[in-house]
Amino acid sequence: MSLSITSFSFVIFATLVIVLYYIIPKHKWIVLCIASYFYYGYVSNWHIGPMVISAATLWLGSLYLDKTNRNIKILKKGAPERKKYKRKSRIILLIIIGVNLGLLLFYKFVPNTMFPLAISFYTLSGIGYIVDVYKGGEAEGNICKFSLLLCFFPIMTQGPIVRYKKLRTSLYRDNCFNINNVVSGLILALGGGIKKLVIADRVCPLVNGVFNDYETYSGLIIPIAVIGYMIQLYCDFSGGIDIIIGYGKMLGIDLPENFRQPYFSESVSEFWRRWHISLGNWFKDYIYMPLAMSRLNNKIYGKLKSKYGVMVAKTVTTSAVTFVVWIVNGIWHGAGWKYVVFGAYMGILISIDNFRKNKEKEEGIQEKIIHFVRILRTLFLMAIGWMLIRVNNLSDFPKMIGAIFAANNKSVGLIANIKVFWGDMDCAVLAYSVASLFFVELLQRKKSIRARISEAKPITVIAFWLVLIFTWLVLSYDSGNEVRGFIYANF
Amino acid sequence: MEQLMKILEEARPDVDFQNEINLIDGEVLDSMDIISIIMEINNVFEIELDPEDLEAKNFNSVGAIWALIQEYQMK
Repeated sequence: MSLSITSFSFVIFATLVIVLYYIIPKHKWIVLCIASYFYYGYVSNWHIGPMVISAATLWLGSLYLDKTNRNIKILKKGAPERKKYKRKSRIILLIIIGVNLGLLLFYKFVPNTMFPLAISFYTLSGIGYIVDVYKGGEAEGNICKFSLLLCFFPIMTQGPIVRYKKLRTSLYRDNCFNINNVVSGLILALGGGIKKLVIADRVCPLVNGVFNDYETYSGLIIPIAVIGYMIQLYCDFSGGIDIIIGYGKMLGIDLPENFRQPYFSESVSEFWRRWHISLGNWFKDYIYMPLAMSRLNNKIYGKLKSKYGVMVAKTVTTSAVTFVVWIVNGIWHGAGWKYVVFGAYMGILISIDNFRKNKEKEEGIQEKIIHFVRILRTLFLMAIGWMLIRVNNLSDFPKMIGAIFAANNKSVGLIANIKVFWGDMDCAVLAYSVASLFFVELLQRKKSIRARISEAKPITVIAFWLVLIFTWLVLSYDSGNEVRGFIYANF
Repeated sequence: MEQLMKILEEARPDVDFQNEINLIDGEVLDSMDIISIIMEINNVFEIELDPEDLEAKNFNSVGAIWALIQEYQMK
């Protein structure tokens, strides 16, 4: 039995957890804890060793660091013991990070190992937590509560990457039943389910067909497959995240926002502030900032400034750090050169953005391109980036680009090619659902749909629910459409 | 304080630092600005600001930044 977050069995499991959660009067987090342990064990096929090691090392380490921080606070500034304690803390921190990062790298890069469920996500949450404690943040004394942060079952599919200090209040308190939360969460989750099942999974056959066998195709079908992948990736990832955040909302738990209409961004750097926000924030806080403020970077900045001025120093140092961070970000997505090239490509684009922004600020001018064209430019640049991620091998990338312009005798024409993957019904459903999604996203730029519905007239509310439930029930699980796993779950 | 104002104005001549009290929360300064400002502060005031002090409350206004610098100078 599958417990994927889009399956009916998950709906039953999740409903049961919600009912139990609200029935129990006190210590409600225990329900979540038991449900999460069961879920993690069951879905991972009881491959729980790496998770147990991570939870144990992080928890014990955080207690030690917390105790040392208290000792340091008691001592006078400048006392020799302070330095001793700080050095010890740093060593412990590095060991714990080493163990957790080592596990992640081992499973990511050593072939033929069984990839532990959600290791890419909980490792980052765990490292964030231990670094925060090292810096003086609060440690969680209860190991069950702490492990719940790492394995909270809704986020085990594809994140978002959670932060202890932001999540702990709503995760551990006894949330009371609130109909507004449940309705609002349900709208979000149903909408997410539709994005994933009606759009992403339906687009998938064409994208897979063309990318896996691009030699058979040529011409316009290739850019259509690339656009299809852009739509698929967004609906797959943000749809899944909407289900997760919506489910959290039904329990009164505030999970971090992960998307803010990224495809309406004017620049690539803006795109990454709106796409997978929790990952971007993690990289900013735990890699970008420490690197940017390192002594080496400071030294380079000083030298460049005295020779070439503030603008050059600022642009070069931040671009260099951005580039390093993006290479790491690329590698986080998976083993293989295509991920490194993807990271480097994004690093270069963002550095160019930074340079342009600095120049604009310095000269007080603005780029003379209208809003719409900037969005199109960003979409084009992102299409190339996503293509790099999607191709099976890096060497396929130039060949696919070439195939767009090549004439292929095997090719039977665009419409016939599309019909290989999508029947008339698929085309109609996709046209309806993608157009609706675009309209909803446009509306949401000013105010969320949930907020609009809460203020709407009863007749509008009823119509809205009918459309939502009809789309979900009728178009999500129709026989021709296979329910697939999540793309980001593999990163 | 004068030195600090000079650093800030050099980094972002277009911002009214005297009156702005939401430099970070209001997204007036971006991460590149903050980094170059911190590097200048480190050099001019001969201190070494720690990344852990990079919280919005320490950088939202000139007063807050000045208070942070003084705290480091007393260490």
